[in-house]
Amino acid sequence: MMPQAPLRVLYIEDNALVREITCDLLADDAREIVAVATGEEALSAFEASRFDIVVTDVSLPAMSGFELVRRVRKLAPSTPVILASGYPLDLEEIRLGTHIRTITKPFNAPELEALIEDLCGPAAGAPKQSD
Amino acid sequence: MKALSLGDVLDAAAYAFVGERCRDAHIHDIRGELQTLQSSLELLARAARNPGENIALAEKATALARRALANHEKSLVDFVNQTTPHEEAAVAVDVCDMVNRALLILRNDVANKSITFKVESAADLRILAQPHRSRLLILGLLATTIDELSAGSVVKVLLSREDSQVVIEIQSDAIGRAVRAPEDQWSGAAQTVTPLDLLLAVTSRWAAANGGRVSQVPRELRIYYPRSQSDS
Repeated sequence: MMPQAPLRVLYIEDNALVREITCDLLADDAREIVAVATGEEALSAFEASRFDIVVTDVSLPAMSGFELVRRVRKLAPSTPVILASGYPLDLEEIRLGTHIRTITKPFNAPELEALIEDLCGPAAGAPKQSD
Repeated sequence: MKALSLGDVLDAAAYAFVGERCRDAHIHDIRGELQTLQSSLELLARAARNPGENIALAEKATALARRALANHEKSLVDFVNQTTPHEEAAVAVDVCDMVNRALLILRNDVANKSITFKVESAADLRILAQPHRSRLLILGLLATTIDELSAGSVVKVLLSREDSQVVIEIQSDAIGRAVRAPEDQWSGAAQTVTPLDLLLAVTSRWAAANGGRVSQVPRELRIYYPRSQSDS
């Protein structure tokens, strides 16, 4: 049986500590995490490569997470998105379309993995074997 | 009990307003630090389940947790100091850093209204000022500027030197009314005071008490404040 390609996750978070530690928690054989600090870097990465899901902080310098999602959706309209924020978010108010979930900080890895699984399928959010 | 002066009352009102206005932004930043702590604990738990192979992971998680705790403590102290009037010693404060910190706190407000801030700054613009008080006033002035602007507006913040003074210039459609003396606002002539009026009044008193001044013409607010002697 051919091994399944890892899920490619584009992760955007301007807080360096949060970015680093979330990558440590999420990356494994089933998931490849590409982490960047700004919306501009994320767009460059998205234009250069394919991603299965975008996980982004909302409060980013210069380009907000909302604006980033609008631009990503122009490039690939059905890309699943998870918006992470220190503010509770109202999906109806955000109006960014479908295939979107929100998560409020501080969240734990299983909560985020459950959302990834919800959007991308069961294997995508599977926790690490050692867990 | 200490009698309250008009200045004390204006100070309390300004701190209360900015504290409430920026409450969500502060909570947001504190939750970001808690996120690092939460994730550090998860990493430590993962390492504990397999201690032989995960010493490096445990050490990394512990180091990240320590940094997050230090950041969190600083944020909480800053939050308390920026929401309560208190005595503080004047130190050299970089005006450009002060403006950038305020815009970082307000980044969600800026994004939500699609406001564009253009900041131009000369080098070495340090003033001798009470750090929390001066940051609060700049934060409040920029927050109220955002509140009074329509979506898509542009704000220019020009930071420069003029003789021995640092000039903080804010150009926007929100600026326009003449600065009224605080005493006039409490005289009964004015039935209501806008948050921007309040912050301008407190800022005027703050600048005047330190040898500076505030001037305002339509679309342009200028705060003149003496430069710190240590950087001349």
